[in-house]
Amino acid sequence: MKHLIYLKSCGIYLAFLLLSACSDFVQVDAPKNELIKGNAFSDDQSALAGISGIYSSMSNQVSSLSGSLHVVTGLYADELNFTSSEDYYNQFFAGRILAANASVQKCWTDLYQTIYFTNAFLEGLAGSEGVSETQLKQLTAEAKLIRAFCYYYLVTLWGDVPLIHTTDYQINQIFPRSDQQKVYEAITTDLIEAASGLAADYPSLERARPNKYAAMALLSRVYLQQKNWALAEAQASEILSSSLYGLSEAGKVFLKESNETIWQLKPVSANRNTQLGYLLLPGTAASLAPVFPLSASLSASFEPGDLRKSLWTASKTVSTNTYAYAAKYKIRVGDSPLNEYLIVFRLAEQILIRAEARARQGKIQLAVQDLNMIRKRAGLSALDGAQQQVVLDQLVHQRQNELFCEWGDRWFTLLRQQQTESVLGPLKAGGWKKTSDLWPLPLSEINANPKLTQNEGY
Amino acid sequence: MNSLYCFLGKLCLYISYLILYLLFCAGEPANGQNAYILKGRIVSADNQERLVGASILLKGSNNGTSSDKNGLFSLSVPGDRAALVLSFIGYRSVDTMISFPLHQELTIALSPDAAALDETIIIGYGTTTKKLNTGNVGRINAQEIARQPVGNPLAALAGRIPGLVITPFSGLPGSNYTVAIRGQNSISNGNEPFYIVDGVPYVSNSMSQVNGTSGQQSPFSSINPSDIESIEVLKDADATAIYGSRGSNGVILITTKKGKEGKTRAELTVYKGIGHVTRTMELMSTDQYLAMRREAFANDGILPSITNAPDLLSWDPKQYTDWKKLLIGNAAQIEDVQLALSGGTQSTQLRLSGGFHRETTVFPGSLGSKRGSMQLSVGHRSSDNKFQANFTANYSASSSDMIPADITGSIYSAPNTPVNSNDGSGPLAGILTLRQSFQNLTHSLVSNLSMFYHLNANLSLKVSGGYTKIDLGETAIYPGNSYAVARPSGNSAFGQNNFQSWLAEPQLLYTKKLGNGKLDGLLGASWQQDLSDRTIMNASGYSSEMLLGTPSGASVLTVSANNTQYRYQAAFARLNYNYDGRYIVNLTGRRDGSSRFGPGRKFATFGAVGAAWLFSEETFVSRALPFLSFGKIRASYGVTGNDKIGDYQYLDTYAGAQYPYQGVSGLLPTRLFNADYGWETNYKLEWAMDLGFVHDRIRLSVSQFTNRSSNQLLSYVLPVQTGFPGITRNLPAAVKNKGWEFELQTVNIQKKNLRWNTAVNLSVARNELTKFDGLENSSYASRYQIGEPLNIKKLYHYLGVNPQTGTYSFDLEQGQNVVRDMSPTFYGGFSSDLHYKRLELNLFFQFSKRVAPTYLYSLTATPGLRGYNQPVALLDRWQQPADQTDIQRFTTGAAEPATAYGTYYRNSDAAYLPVSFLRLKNVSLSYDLIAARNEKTFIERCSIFLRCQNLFTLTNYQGNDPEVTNMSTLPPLRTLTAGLQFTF
Repeated sequence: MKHLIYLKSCGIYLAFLLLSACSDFVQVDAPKNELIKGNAFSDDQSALAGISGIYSSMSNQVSSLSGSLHVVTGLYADELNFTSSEDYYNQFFAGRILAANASVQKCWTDLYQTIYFTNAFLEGLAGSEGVSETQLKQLTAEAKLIRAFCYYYLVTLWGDVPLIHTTDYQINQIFPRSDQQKVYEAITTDLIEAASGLAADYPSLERARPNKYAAMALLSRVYLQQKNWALAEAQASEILSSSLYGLSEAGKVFLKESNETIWQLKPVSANRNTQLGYLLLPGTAASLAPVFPLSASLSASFEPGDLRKSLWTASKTVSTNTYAYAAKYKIRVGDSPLNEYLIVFRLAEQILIRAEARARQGKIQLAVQDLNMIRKRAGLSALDGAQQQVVLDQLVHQRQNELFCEWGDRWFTLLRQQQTESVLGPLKAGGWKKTSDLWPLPLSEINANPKLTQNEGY
Repeated sequence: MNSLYCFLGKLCLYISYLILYLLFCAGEPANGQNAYILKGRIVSADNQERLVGASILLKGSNNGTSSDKNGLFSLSVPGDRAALVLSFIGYRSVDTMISFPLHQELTIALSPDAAALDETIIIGYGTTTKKLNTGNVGRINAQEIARQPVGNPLAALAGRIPGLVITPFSGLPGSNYTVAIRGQNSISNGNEPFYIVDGVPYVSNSMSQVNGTSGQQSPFSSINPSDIESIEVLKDADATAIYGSRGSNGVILITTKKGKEGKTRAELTVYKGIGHVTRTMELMSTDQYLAMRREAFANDGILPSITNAPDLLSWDPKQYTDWKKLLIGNAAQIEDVQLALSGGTQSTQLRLSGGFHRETTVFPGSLGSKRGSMQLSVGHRSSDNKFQANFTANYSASSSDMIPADITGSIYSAPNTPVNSNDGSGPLAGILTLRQSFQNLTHSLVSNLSMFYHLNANLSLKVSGGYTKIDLGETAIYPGNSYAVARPSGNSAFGQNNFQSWLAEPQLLYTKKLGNGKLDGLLGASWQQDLSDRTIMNASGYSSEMLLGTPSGASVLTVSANNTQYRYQAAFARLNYNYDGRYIVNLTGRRDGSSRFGPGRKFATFGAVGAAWLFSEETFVSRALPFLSFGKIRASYGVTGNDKIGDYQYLDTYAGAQYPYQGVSGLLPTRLFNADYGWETNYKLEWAMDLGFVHDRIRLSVSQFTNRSSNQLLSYVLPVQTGFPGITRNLPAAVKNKGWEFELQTVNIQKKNLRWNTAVNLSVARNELTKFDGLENSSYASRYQIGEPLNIKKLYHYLGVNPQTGTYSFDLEQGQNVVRDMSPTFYGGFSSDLHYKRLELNLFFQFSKRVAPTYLYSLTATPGLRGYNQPVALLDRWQQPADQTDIQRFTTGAAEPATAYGTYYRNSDAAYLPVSFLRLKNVSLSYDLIAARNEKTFIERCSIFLRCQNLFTLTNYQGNDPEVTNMSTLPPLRTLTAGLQFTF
């Protein structure tokens, strides 16, 4: 009898235990350090956090956008030499990039991840009801500018690239390469929408988030690259007519207060001003040569008395060798004080864009006027009227001296002028082929997406 | 650390008081009845030889004796009945009940231990014996572990259990292991077994956040191997289905030592030894290196200049540094001290132990790691045997003082590199690494309490609960002068990972004689919660290099924190029916819920059926086959699951960006999101036969298994154009693991003074991707192939060195179409245990055959490249047209040969070749200086021993180590240790 009672009570106890094993127990709270997507952009503040996350990732020292993209394009063109031994850098220097190159993969990954962030952000904004109308318009435009910016680099470096505007991985994972023309069209559409969604006033201090002129600055660059001279000229002219900007004196162009800056990224990483400065400047120890010194051809290209040579480059002698190096940004390490931001667009480029667009349209005098603005700031004498070809050659030369080590400008100029083979052919130990105009798609991407094809020559 | 050891010391003291109390005050009072003198003889069951020194103990008392040189003993026994426990090393213990008066001389026969069919085996939520088990369970016991001077219990398993592959990451103390039971079931990660220590789930993945020298630290380096009684490896459905969703990859049960009834024994073991790197390749001398470089320049048609060839033009051509000797040529020191106290009465048993283990490295300096550990186990039962309680606690503190990276890769530095050069680029980075430091400290507590109450003759209630807490703190320091390009100030990284887990499991046990058989039932429930709290701080901007060890000195601090909560619940049941000791059926079932899955996907049911037929118990069999002493056929089939994916993967979340932008904390998407994934299921089928011949002196087990995993749940690799490199989802794919396992144990010689046992195990298995809908169009198209194993490489076919150009050539038209299976073809171990009088010699060989990357693959630098020294074997290179060789010409990095090596050779069938090895993994030689209690000393047993790991290796592998086939990873060391063991 006693046992029976035991049995019963025990049975009831166990039944209770098992019944209480309802699904509540395995329902866990959301992680403390993350937000569920539905709540992510519930108001203006969290939407602002969304766009800030994207800028922060672009400006992070680990992103190739903040440093290595500038360096590898400089190595691949005729701007930089190389004193270290990493093979993935050496491949750019020698002009024989392999599809497995880690830097190629890194640039591709950073650009596409940023595109995903903007796509996710745009979808989140579109689905949000708590974000105010003005903020929605502003942030949508910023995100479109960033997306266009990334596609601009993808399409110029790799040619046809997958044009992805959604976050659905099922579609995106086997998305094939889109025709260059379609990509350029998408970039243009994004930029026109961005320019109309953004105001002339900057949304935050220090020009660290873009205004409408930033969108137009990229648009003029895109038109130029597409040889759409009239539109390039019109965009650049509109920027140049704004009272916000003016050429700074040569010694102050790369400071964060520069009046010439159209958009700059504020450095975020520990122990850094710009990551680009960190990469290009040599360490303080006497034995340390700059890892990426300037090429002899770039050093020699400056005309006598060019302030850019004296102010924007420097040299260091290690044992018996003297290395010239880029010194636009002067601060190599340390984050306090924070004096230098990474300039994305500045007025000088727009002047050169307009000059080139004008020269191509036969407006030689106007082009020379623009050119002389740049020459004058560099402490050089003004040019008089000249032949179209002379002006165009002078433009290539001025771009080389003005925009060296900035966002691959030299490489894109050579591409646009179709001078890659004539200029780089004699310089590259690995030999130069016509197909070298485009980088190889990363091997890991080709392996992961069967619809991707490799560029010719790789 | 000092305060910790002080604390440990105090705790030992308190526990000693407790033992004394229990021993002297808690024992049962003796009653005052008449005493008999019991006389008898102890012999060996198989040849009737008398056994000298066998122990005879009156159960539940300290009253005992041992047999004399004629095998005779006499013992004074109170009362007219006596329960005796008879034991002898190498023989199975016998429990027997004697009633007085005796009518004839008492002779007790002990059976040799090799035939330990009745040995207890731990299984999920219970025990069984080898004889009655319907499932497949591999086991190693405390003696086998003790013979190996290893710091990590996983290391002791290598080669010993069929179906289990254990591969070390490196030869550094604390380094992690890859563990796989019966192959790879899941395509992506999540192939680790489920680990349980004393009934409580233990972490299977490394908790490291800041990588140290040995990469990820093994969580098992916190567990003292000397405290382990046995490690059971559960393999088939019958054994693993009771663990439901977590049993898919097999289960490893670690059971720590418990106190045993009997007189109090203290055991002290001390050993000390050294370790060296074994096999390395001979590298070029300075002359050879410089000649290689000059030849490379000549081959490429480039003139050496000060920028591209400082090694030729500015470094001293006479300088020679043996980087190998300097960096990895030192002797590692190993020290180990263990003290254990155990004993108890019939009602209360106790074991208390403390241990200390220290290992240094072969690197320069005094780097190393150490562990102090303590274990307490108490068991108590009431005098009516109705109530039982057991408590076990294992506590350890381990610390290491290492460097943040393995510097083995730096032995390939150019031999004339200036030693104090700051040029830390390329292979010389290791010199700079030595200026850095990596420290960690782990505190680990694993505790378990179980209470057991017999409600009546058939029914008992058991409740067990466990609590585990592991805290890992890590500090990595990178001084400014440790960078290739020196920095004005250094930086540090601090990691803190706190893990805690609790578990509660009420169970109802039922046992009843039913007809001619016995029915055992188990019904239980389980609740578990794991909380993990991780923080990483990266600190920089220090005002002084002296402050690098603390985050408070940093002006810039970035913190990333991560919390996860995992909850798990289950109800499980087992029904076992044993009919007449001949037919056994075992049914298990489990319903599981896990927080790792999204709503509607949290629960699933698993189960298995196992059956065994002990045909040797049938009279017709024993008549027809008298030489067969044991015969069993068993089979099992069932389904288990795998939930080894991260937490919260089903949520679409945003997390804080690493840094704020303009003072605004950013948000970024955490992952691509898929809420709708479910369990991965694993169907396991096994059949097996266990045979024993000649009084079980020869025992053979053969098992065949077929495991099929479907509904593959994994992080699916995506092209990064999707935004992320992967996503968690169920794949329409199925993986099959099929294999055979053989075990043969023989007692070759069984004499009074000489015993020799051998055992061999062999596993042959094949993994196959049987189904993958839409593989061609998936992102896996280039990695897998239906009908081939998961672990394959698709490679170019190598055509040799082109005699004209001197570069490697390949069949590029065919593309990467040569398939090489990287999983082991076969593997196993062979052990020999020899006892001669007081001498014992144990040998253990491990063997394996598989395809592995060649040395040339893992050197990674194209031969001839600046700064990289190369093995002398490469001197057999192409030099001029028409040379026939397998090594291409040296190059400074010119396009054609660099591509041939970097892009093609390393992805060709020439870089992946079959590697087989036979390794004398362990030798243990011990001699008993004192073998039985001596009246004059209080020492019961004293032995001296030599224990060695990795004594020699026979292999066809050209590189450093055939097990760790990576030239830049420190290979497992050869260790030689010597020590003493005392039993008091």
